[in-house]
Amino acid sequence: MANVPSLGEFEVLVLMAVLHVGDEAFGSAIRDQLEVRSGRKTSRGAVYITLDRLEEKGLLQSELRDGTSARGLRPRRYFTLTNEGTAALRASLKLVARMHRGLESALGTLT
Amino acid sequence: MSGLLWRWVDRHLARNLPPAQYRTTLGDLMEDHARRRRSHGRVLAALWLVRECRDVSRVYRTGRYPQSSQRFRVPANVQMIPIAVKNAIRLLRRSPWRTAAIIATLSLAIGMGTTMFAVVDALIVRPVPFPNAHELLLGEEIPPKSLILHESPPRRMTE
Repeated sequence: MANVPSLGEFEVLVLMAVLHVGDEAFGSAIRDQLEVRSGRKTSRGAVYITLDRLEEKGLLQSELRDGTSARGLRPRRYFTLTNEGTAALRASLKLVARMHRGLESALGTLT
Repeated sequence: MSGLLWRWVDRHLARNLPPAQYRTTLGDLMEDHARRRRSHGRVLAALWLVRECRDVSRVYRTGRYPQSSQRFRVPANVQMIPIAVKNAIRLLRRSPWRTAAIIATLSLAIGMGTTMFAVVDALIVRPVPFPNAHELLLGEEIPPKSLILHESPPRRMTE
């Protein structure tokens, strides 16, 4: 537990968006998913640099696949969660759940 | 136009993004731009592309996320312009005689101003339309010698 890196709020959202998109998780799709589910505008640069940072931390891994003619044959970079990423995400959500316990009367349920 | 725009985007991203991210980001932008062009039209899609490109570049250059307040927004006083124009049109339509008087006054004033400028420009500002206009002299009749009080040099036309 002590080795699991702590995540910021935006990092949690990005990791969850990657999981939601699934096999087709590349930059634009992740951002779209994030905007649709969170209901707030998200900067493209913020998403991209967070993806880079999560990959540097070893929580995500990326793979380049050939691009289509619609993108001038430029490659797409697809992201997937590593085991460490999944563990870090789970730990962050558990932490929120633990902090929330006992506050139901003030905050209501989370779902 | 499109070629110029993409050349700018390409240069901008190449300068600000790490090489590994540059090509994938450019590809993402091309795909999203094509989609946006179909849904929003060419001009809005071009504006969107410039904003996205600048946003990504700034984040990579500074390493900081832009706060929502730092992103480009149309200033409040500019947002008021269409509302002010609409209100003005409503007011003008409500009182046609006053509108006619305003339009007539403005037309007369602008017309007079333009005419005056044209006359002054033709007579004073521009040189007279002859070759070597600066050498033109004003000829005057010389009165009998007994009436000459003093002699003055001939005056030039352009003075």
